[in-house]
Amino acid sequence: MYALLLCLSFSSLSAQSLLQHVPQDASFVFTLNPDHLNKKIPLVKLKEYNIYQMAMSQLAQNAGQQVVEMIEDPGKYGLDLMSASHVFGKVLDEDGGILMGVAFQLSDAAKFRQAISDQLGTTLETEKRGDFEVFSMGSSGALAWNNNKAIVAGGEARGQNPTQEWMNTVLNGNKGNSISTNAKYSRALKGKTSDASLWMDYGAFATMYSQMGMGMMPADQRMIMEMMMGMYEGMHIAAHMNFDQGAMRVNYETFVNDELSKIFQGMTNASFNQKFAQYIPKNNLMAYINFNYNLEEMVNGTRSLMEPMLNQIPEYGPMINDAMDIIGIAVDEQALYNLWSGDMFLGVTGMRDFKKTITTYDYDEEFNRIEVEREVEEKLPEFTMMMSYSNEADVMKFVKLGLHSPYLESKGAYYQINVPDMPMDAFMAMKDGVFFITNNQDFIENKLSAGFGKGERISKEHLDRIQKSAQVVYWDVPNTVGVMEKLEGMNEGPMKEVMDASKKSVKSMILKADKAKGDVFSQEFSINFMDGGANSLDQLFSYLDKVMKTMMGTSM
Amino acid sequence: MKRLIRTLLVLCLPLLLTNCFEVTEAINMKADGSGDLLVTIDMSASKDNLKAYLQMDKVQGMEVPSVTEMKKEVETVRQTISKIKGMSNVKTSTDFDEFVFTLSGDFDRVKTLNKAINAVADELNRTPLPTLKKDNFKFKDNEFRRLFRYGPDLKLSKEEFEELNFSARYVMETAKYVSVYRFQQPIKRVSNNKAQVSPSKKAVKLENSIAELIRGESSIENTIEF
Repeated sequence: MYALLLCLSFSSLSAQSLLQHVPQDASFVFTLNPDHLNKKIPLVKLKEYNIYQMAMSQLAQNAGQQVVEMIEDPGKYGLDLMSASHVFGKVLDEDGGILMGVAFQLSDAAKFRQAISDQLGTTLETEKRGDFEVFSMGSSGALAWNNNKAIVAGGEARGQNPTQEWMNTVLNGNKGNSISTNAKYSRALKGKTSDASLWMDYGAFATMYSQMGMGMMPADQRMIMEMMMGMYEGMHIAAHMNFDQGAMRVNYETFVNDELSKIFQGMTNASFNQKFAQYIPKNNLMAYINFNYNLEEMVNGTRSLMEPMLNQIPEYGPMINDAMDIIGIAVDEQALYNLWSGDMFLGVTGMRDFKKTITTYDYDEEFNRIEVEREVEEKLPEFTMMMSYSNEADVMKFVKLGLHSPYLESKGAYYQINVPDMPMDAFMAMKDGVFFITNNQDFIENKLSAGFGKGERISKEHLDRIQKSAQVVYWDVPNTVGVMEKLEGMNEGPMKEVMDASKKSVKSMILKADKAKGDVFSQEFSINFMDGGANSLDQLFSYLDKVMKTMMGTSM
Repeated sequence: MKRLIRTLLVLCLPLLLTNCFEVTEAINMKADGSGDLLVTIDMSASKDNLKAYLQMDKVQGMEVPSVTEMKKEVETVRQTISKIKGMSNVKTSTDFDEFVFTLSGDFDRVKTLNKAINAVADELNRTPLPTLKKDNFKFKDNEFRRLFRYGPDLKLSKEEFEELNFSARYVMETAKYVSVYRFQQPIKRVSNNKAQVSPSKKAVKLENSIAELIRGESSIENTIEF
């Protein structure tokens, strides 16, 4: 137990020791933690897959055989690739330059030194700085190493030459000036370990990109741009990637400033319209997108953010605000929000046959090639879209406009949408505050009055996810494949193999965004695999192996 | 050579033809041995993809020729055939909306047609290897023959075919080669059992997938007696 604690402490200290070389004002830090992943899936197992062999072969072609050997046998080169390593950088506002750094662990400094010397084909000329041996690469950077770690620092900066200063800061590795003391970084990463993570000062990048284009702009436009960039001030993001048992997850957190925080909170201050649930079927739900946003709060929040900014632009700002006030006289904003509150559910519930006429070629009975018009059945996704409205009388004003045009036709309880050259029939309906658009005739004719039966409705699992989230994008892979393989040509030959592999491997893909909590807006993307007990990276490699084998032929 | 074929198939077919296409050779033979030829390359089923490719400079690392370059190439083919003594009325058409291309012309005898095909093959040969010149058609007395022989290296075994990538296999499975020959006299017999004879007995059609031809499972070779 003592040994274990000692090891854990040492590992943590090593990580801290590397992080101290990442300066406090770094704009981004990417951390790779193979050891964290290796505890979940022995990485050596992945070498058995053809896809790994192929990737290494590509790498050998693009980067050279030695790079492959470094990955395959890092110990030979004195590298410790299992411990965490960091790639970091700092963007320079003024000239659009970027300074970079890499920090990684060594297992054997002598072997590392020899490998560098072999790579350069010359005797290394280095200088000592503390316990570091430093190899200078001129003004563009330096490589330094001591007994257990190596640091690369460099970059390009136009105008001034802050590279040397950057290299000094990185190599010196002052604990008190490291990224660990950056409040934003610490908050975003605190208590979170992952296979890989990225932290980025979004405000710094936004400023850099805006500065790059601003030089050419007239002064007033530059002012508007600066104002827009000000919105992102203080904003930073963190992403964590983990290959867990049964699922690969990427979690994003966006930390926003006070102004944006109010907008995000207002925008996500909305609930799922429970009436939607009865119209979403449990079966054949191939994919859906749902968002619950509060349009009124989003517009009001954006306006309250923009108005003071606009007032600071003497040329246009007050004039735009005045114009908005005048538009406000003519437009009843509340009435607009009553037309659509800001939510939507779009579900794909299968593939349907739609008839269309195409011009093609055929042979007559004497085998003359002739042009023929043929009615063909085309499979298109069957969808239903729902949105909430609260003022039916106002919505009906738009419907009446449609009815007085050739594009909308009343069919009793619903309306048929007639758009020329549309490859399918589409329908529109309104019921109890829900506005429908669908191409599912059976749904519009038979399900509109009471929806699906209780046992046929969307599952509780989906409903819980939708209710708790501001936005969900869901894709059911086996269900989709099940429908797709009924299409012509999809259930034979190599396509069948791809279909089978997909169906047996991947369960679903989900992107969900939480409601904003304070100044944090969280999102999660996950690929969920069939075997909940096996590591997702293992399953991903196995799946890609099967698909690549089919795609590349048996020669792979 | 097999390696070359495989490489060409793997590289070119997925690049150019992401869906099915059809090549038709139609020959109207007269009793005196003269006739006319119409070759149609119909890529209309892939037109959306092909239009998208034309907007790009490169696809999968290979340069995409411009419409002007392709029209120039077609014109070169027309001029090459026009120069062959005995070929007349040679025309080409290019339709870059539907992606249907045609080549037509009259020939005074089948030997002239063979000469024209070999001249085009030579003109289009971009390899350092000499063009393999051979007869494609024979006409003698009451017999018309479509010749087609693979060199021993040109055919892929089923296993070798399976080694090709998915896109190449898919394209070849869906692509068709159609030959239609018409005669003034009624047809008495055809050697290729996949060939269909028209109700008037004066036309014969043979349809094969490119994959079947590559694997050697079928042939466009046919002897028509009339």
